[in-house]
Amino acid sequence: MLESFIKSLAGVPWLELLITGTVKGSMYALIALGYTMVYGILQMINFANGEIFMIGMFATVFGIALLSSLWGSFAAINLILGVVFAVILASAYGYGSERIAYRRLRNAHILAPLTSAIGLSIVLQQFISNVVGNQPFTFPNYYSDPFAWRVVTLVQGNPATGAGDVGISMLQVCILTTACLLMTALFYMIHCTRVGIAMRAVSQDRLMASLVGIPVNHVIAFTFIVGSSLAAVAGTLFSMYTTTLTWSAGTASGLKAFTAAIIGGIGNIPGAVLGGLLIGIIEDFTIAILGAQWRNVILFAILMLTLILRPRGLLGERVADKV
Amino acid sequence: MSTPEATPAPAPASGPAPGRATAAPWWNAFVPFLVGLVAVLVITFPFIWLRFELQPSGEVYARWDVKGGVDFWQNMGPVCLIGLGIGLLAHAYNAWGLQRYTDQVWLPVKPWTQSLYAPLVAYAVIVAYGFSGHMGFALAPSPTTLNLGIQVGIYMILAMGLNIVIGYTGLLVLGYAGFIAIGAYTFAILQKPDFIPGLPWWAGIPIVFIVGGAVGWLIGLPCIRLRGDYLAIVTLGFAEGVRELAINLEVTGQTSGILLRNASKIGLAPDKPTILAWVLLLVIICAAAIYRIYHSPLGRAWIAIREDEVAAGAMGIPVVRMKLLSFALSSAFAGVGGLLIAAYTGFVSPDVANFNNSVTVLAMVILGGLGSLPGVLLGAGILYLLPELLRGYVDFEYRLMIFGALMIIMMIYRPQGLLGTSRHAIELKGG
Repeated sequence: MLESFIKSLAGVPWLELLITGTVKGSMYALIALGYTMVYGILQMINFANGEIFMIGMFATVFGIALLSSLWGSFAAINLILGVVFAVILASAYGYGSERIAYRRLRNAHILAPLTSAIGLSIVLQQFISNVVGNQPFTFPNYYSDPFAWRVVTLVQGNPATGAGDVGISMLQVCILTTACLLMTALFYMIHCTRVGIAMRAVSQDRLMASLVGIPVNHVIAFTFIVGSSLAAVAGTLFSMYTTTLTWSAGTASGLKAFTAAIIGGIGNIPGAVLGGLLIGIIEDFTIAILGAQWRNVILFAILMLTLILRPRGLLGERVADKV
Repeated sequence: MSTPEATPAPAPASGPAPGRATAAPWWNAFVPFLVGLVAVLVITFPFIWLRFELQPSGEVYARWDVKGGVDFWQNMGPVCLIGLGIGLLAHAYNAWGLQRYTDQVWLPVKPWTQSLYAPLVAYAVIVAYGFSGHMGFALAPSPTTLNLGIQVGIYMILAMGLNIVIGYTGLLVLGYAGFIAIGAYTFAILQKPDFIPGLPWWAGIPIVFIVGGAVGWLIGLPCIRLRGDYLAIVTLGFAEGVRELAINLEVTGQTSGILLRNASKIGLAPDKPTILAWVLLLVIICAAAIYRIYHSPLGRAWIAIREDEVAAGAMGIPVVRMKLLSFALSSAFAGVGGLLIAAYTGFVSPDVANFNNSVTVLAMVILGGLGSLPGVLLGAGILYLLPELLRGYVDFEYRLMIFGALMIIMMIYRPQGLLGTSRHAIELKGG
């Protein structure tokens, strides 16, 4: 048992796993940012963020399909405009969820917004599963094939068959670039713009912020819109990378992203990025070493260990049990 | 500039005085609803009325899907009516002062044995009605009805258990199905030939109670010190982990699950009235036990923690220990419910730990009334029978969507649930 385990360890293509894990992790980080931003500003878990990620997935394909029917299949334009469509639609869902399910419960006991959030996430998930269909769809490969070529080959495997090659594909480069750009933009926005200062003020003290003239409702709505947009972009990238779209992807990835946010320290933005990368890498190594069926068990074990050993997360300064 | 005739200086009756708000027209109250409705219709439009079609070339095109859209709204019709009905009921409660009567009925100041009369009479009537088929009574319940009754009884036990941790202590648990699965699998594994062959279901109850409680205690230990939302997420992850463990492990029979041996099933024979009698008896025992705990110093400590954790700690209540105890007790009742599910269906599969199961029980607690024992029983009854009543009109798949919508509606308009007390409402609505 142990021997075979060690043997399987030796055969692990660690470089490849590191690359795929980082790519996956950067997408988890984008979702985790939505969780952590809303938590930072409202001290509440927005369960529906995972479902918004899933809606972003489907909205991209709907957007591409609409544009193709409108003026034909122009790969680059349709893809970009499809992402824009997804971002707008997902922002609308994010804003709507804040307006309908959370705003009236802002001063209530913590149980009320949490229950409302879980109800909302069930509604969104079941809505998509009932309306779009509950079997998995594939991403239209006409739009993802142009990204399939390999940019660099890091390890040369068998030259005849190409087996054992380790490289970075264009899609992976694009995902990492997009994620980095979005995160940089987010950091810039939070630290150097007026909106960002307002957001930080609201997260520190909502009442005081409203007294100095910050439009608290608008700032909170804006936070939801930013988080939903990030989740929608992550949804597009994720569906291109895994080539599948399912209604249940929101819960699965949402749980991982949430774990990432806790590992990094919830409410802490660099922490969410670090946690996302860690979760992505750990997940890929778990799949390679133990098998795909164990990944949620390992995920849960990591979550428990984090809560036991360091409940504030790796980078968290915020006190976890602030009442 | 207006002429002097048009604006006579102080005219109290004719027009609005400058600087004072005009009286809002009656339809103003509906404007936000209408705007919201239009917005929802717009943002759901592409998903409802369009289909995307993948071409073999990998391209994708959109087409109108009128049939799908009409189908969706046909299903949503009864759903919207139910939502409207519940909203009106909640409004009636608040507007007509009905809450006063609910408070009087459910906050009794009388010996607990007196509170037992009504349930016992109801029990006798229901069981007699169940057995009336044996005596040739023409209107006797069909096996389907009896089956429904048994299922409702099992879910009542589950809902009462979840109510301990959500309603009394105020902690959200999202992975209740994980604890149900722990109970079901513990019993199913114990009755295998390698362990205690032919373990009867009633002998399994104390074992499952203790095992469920111990697992709950262990899971709660690391996260119960933290804010309430951590417990929600950890239990959610726990249920997923239990499901995957059940799928992977040899001892749980992997995806095919475990088939129970005959001796371990409830009733031994397909005699539904007997099973109904047993299950309802268990419901009454559990309800009496929980009622007694609720009205003991322990229950009061839980309520104090729910209302203000810091103040409760300052008054000398061991907050962490009490929270842990309520969580463990709730998972112990989940174990009993899981055992009943296993012993009744004669089969355990990883689906027991499904998220849907957690959501169903959670919706029962929230609809009926957080922290209200009769409310929770009512909620379990309504939510188990509602999908059955709607079977001809609404696709079964829309059930969970109704539950989710119900949670949002209840939290906004009536957070204490249908039969909740006003004390809890004030607390949930906050300052």
